[in-house]
Amino acid sequence: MSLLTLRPRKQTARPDETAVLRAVIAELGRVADGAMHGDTEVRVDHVPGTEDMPDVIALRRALNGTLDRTDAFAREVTGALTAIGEGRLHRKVLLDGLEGGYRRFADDINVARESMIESEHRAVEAERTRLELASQFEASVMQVAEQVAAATVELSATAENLSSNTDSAVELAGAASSTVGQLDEASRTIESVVALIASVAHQTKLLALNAQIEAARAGAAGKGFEVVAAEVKTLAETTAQSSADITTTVQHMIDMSGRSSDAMRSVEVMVRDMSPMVDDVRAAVDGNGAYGERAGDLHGLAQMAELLRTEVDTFLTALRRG
Amino acid sequence: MGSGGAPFPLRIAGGRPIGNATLNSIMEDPVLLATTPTGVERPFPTGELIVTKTDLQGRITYANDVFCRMSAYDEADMIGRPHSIVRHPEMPRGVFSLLWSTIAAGEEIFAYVVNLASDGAHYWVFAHVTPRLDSSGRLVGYHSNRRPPQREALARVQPVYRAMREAESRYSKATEAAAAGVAYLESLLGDAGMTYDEWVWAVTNGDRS
Repeated sequence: MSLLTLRPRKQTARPDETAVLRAVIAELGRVADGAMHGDTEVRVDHVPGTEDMPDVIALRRALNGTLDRTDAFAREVTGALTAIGEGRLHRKVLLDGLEGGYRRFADDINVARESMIESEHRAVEAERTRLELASQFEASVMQVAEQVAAATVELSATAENLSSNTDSAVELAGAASSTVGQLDEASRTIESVVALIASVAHQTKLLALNAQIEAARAGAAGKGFEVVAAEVKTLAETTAQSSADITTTVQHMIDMSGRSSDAMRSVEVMVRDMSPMVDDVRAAVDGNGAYGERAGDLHGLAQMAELLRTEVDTFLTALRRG
Repeated sequence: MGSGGAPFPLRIAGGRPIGNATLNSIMEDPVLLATTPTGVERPFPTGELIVTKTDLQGRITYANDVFCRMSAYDEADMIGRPHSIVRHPEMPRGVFSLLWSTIAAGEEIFAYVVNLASDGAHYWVFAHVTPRLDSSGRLVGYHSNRRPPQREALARVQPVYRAMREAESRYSKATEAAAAGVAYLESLLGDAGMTYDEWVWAVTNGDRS
């Protein structure tokens, strides 16, 4: 099929045969030049006068066949790659009509296409997993946030109660302390009264002793009076003994009330110390909007839970957008 | 590529003897133009490729030797003629309507097509139609590569085409018939939840659906 076989077979070439062959060469040149410059549409046209030149006909057919297959290859590759780009993954490179090197290239492209589809599937799977994780994360966070919100409400109410109970406790401790003080005072009054009684008993005993002496001097006439004086003396001794007992008891009571008073004061101090701690708990739960100098710079637990929910929501929206 | 002026060695509808008529004279004859299908299927060998190019109006500007042989036309008499000269009456109009609307949008389309040769034989192809762009990227016409179809694919396509023709047969105007054919195909695809492109490739790839 080489051009050399186009040499005239008949010894006596027709006079126009050279002109026809020149026209063939010119046509082949036109097509080769076009193909070289990337014209995929160019084909070898029929050259008048070549109807009975089988070699020229075969040459034209082979050259056009080459261009057709190159064209078909290019259209298949372009079509398949465009389809992948558009997500039409069902569109393959058709191998029919492609031979040799074209076939191998097309095979390679189909293999690459399969791996692209595989990657695409993996990407879709990863995306699905990502969204699933986002949903699970969201569910967990929302659950935690709701629990925190519920606990916050409860904690806030408890802190409120605690605060008012602390105030009552301080008040009650103060009242108890003053009661003990009064008790102490009463004990001291008893003590002084008992001291007076003891002194009266002592005087009485001395008087009774004097009365006994005087009765003895009076002789038989004072006998009865002596009995009375002895009784008075015994009574005074008993009174003195009882006064001593009472004094001991009262002294003991004074010690006890002193200790009670100390304990009450300790309780009062401790309860007073608890008060700011309860305020701190309230601030932590409700925020310190209403408390102290740092008002507004501390978020309460409830606000924190809401903030967490908002942040997570923003994060998930971004995550889902991918 | 054959001899343009030689007598046309074909059987023609109507049993009229051809005598010494040339292809050119036959092409002018309106009676002979109505080629009647013979029901004979011409085999399309694997590995061969039918290639034609048309201008924007669908007139053939290039036909390769395989197309000439399969269609039993001489090249010289085919150039400049509308591509519809190989149209088989069993092809639904809706398929061509879909084909033109798709390539007019600058997209490629695949379609199973049965063509009628000038001698009344027919052959099935798996056609791939794409736009033809010149070196500056301007649309200058259409290009069609046709490959031999798989028999299994045809077995799935033919019942659909028969139903489309049935839907089209209720209309006498060609445009109405084509619209009815497209509507029928679209309802069929809608029920299957597929695009035409997905369907034609499912058929081609042998996917069960």
